[in-house]
Amino acid sequence: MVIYTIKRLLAAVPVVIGVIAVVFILTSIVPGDPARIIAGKTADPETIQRIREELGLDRPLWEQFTDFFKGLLTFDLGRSYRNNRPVTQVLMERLPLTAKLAVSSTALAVVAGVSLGVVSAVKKDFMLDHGGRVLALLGISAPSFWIGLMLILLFCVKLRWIPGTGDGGWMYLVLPVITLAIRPAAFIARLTRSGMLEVLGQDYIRTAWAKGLPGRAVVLGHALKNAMIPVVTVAGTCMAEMMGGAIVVEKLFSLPGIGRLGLEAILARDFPVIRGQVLLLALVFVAANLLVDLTYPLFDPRIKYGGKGRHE
Amino acid sequence: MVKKPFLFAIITFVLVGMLAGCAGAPVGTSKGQAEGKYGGTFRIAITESPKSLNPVHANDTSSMRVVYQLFDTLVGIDSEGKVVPNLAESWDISEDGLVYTFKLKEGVKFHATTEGEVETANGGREVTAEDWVWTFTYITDPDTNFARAYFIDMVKGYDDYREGKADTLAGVTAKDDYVLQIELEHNFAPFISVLGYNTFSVLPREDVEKWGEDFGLHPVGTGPFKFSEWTQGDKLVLSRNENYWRSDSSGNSLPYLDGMELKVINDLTMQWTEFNLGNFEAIEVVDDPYYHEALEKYPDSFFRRPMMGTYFYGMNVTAKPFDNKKVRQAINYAIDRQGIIDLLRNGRATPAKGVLPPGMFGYNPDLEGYTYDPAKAKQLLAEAEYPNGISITLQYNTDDIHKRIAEAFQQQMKEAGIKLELKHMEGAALFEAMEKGEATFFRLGWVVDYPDPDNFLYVLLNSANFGPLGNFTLYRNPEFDRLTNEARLETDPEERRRMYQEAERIAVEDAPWLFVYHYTTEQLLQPYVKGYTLPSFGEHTARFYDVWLDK
Repeated sequence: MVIYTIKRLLAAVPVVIGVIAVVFILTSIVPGDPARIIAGKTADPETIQRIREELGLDRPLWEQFTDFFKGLLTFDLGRSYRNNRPVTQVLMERLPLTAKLAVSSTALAVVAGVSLGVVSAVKKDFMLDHGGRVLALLGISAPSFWIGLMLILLFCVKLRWIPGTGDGGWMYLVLPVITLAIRPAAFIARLTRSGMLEVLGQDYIRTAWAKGLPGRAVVLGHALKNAMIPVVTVAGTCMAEMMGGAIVVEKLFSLPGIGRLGLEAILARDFPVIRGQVLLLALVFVAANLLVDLTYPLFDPRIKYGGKGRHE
Repeated sequence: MVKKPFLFAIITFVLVGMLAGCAGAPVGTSKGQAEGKYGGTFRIAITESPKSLNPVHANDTSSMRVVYQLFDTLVGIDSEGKVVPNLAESWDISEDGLVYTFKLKEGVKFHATTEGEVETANGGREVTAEDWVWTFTYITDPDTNFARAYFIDMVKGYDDYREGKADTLAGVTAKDDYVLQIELEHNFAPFISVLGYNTFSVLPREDVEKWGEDFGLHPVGTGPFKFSEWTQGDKLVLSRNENYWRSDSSGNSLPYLDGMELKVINDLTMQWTEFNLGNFEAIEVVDDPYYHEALEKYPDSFFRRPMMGTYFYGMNVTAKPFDNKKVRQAINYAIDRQGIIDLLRNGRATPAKGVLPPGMFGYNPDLEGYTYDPAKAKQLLAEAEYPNGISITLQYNTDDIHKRIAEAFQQQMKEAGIKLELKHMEGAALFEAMEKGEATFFRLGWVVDYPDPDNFLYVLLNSANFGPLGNFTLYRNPEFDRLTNEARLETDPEERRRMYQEAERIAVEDAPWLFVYHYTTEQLLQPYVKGYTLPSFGEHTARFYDVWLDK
């Protein structure tokens, strides 16, 4: 398992290098000169050139690229063009909020999605199932900005249960977390339902019933466990995506997270911040995929990593 | 300077676009009758996070809004755009216009504490003429890249200092603690108003040296508010400067407010929603869908007035078909300005007859300009040997308002035989396309940096300023150049006015722009906010030293 993990981490190195290389190439061909943006609406060409030199934009791309990796060895991602702050600091400031959002909404999505899916599967073709499926369809179809706005209208404007938007403590995170969770929850509900239906028809479940096990043990202990693998995969990817920042929701709820940071950086052509954010995102995806893979054995003992007696 | 950011706001140039104001009866001030009440925090929702709070870097509206509360310039620009005393209580200009002698106000102190109760490096000492000498030297320092330093390139010794031939800026000297003298290489009539631009704010040397590049994150000035804390991308907090030099008419110390809080809310629907929840004393933008509701709900605290800015489409006069004056005129006859303002902007703008906005020195109310006359446009195109019309492409920075306006023009121009294609791109990309000559018909907006026609006519249309200096149309007319060059040197205001009006008349006749509209500026406040004055420079330049909350 340890060896497997180390191997996977090593395999991530070329992935990260590749991702950063692509970002370097994209930022170099995208129109819009950072020095020009810093100078503002008008500036003399001499000053613009000087800013360009100061930022190192006049140097060959490969040189900037190798410098970036040299800096990486000491966790130095350079400084923001926009305000000269270290990129690591800029990212670290925004990360906690985004992490809170991603973890809470993924947790909520899993709990709500799995519950809904299980109920739907067990009560297949009953009212509860139909209701659950309609809910899931709505959750998948409704755009998050609309859901967010409706929640704000209801809870902030009409009921006044929540004072407003922004980053003002846990209260303020309730609505964004719900907004973010609805779509993955709906998706997970559908996956769980179909997974459960498949499993519930298997021989070993019939055996479990035949043994006279209580319903709860059969459904949760035997069936659900086996239906969980696709759910874990989806939850992992969804959390990684949210760590990259949920731009629409962050903007709507005025939350200064990673997503808004990335948007601002792109508009300002703040290349060091863009690179830092993409690097972070690449690492999060690698880590999330690894974690997902490592949790598979918990649900399916046939899957083992490393060691002897490996079955596939 | 500029106003509403197109999404990206950083380049203030184009910005102006969205904001805009309204045209209705201009209201400008909520002056409280008596002295104000002390206390309270003024909370304002802003659309973009400030870039830097170092006045020399603050060239976006969000940064400027804060810089105006933290710092002071030698002279001020009042809400009508007139130059008024500020840290200089009076000044003399020599007869030849070359020597400016400023009498400085005594007892003005730098902030003694900042970021809570942290002592500043300057310790709250008094500002003297030496501080101004140091500040001007710092701003023009050849080792720095302050994009606006060239605004004062007429100061004596500027070139020598920038080129490393001198150690100081020779033209700026302290005659004694309270007398500052600035000598110019050549006369420059708008000089005094340039000094009101936020870049030229006095800075405490000790704190600038202490923080270096990071001074923009730890600003220390002389303004009514001190820097308190800044959560990047989210919230910026200012607190009352208890040693501020101004007092109200009864001698009570200012400011009245305990502090200010600026919070970034990108989404305009949310700005409006939160304002109605009472979470803010002011919001930066009232979006078009809520405009009428805002007028109804807040009739006495929704301020609007014409702003010193113009929304236009530039034409590259060296590119076909824009190299033909008749084509440029035809394009100007092909649009219904008032129509789109009423229809798309809720009347929140004034049709542009020319370059200069109403309220600006030199504005010519009798200028004829272009009317909506598709037949005339067609005829001009025929005379220009385009009897079958023309096909042109407009490039604009991605934004909803710009899009709606461009689409309306597209329809109107059809009637005049002009086929208009639309291409939108992000602001930074548009600038690059303009500078490379790839965009030959492009949308821009301009709000003045200093209240003088020079900042419009010379900067945007004189052939000395091709490209990033401001003239993207590459327009060149020797007579226009002569007038705008000479007007810079002319000291007689009436003669200057005449020269600018003549220059503007030439520019309108030559039509390097499609003149669209002049912006209006607006500020929505809670009804209990008193003492606020909306400046014609745009709401982002408002001062809050005498604002108070009546609650």
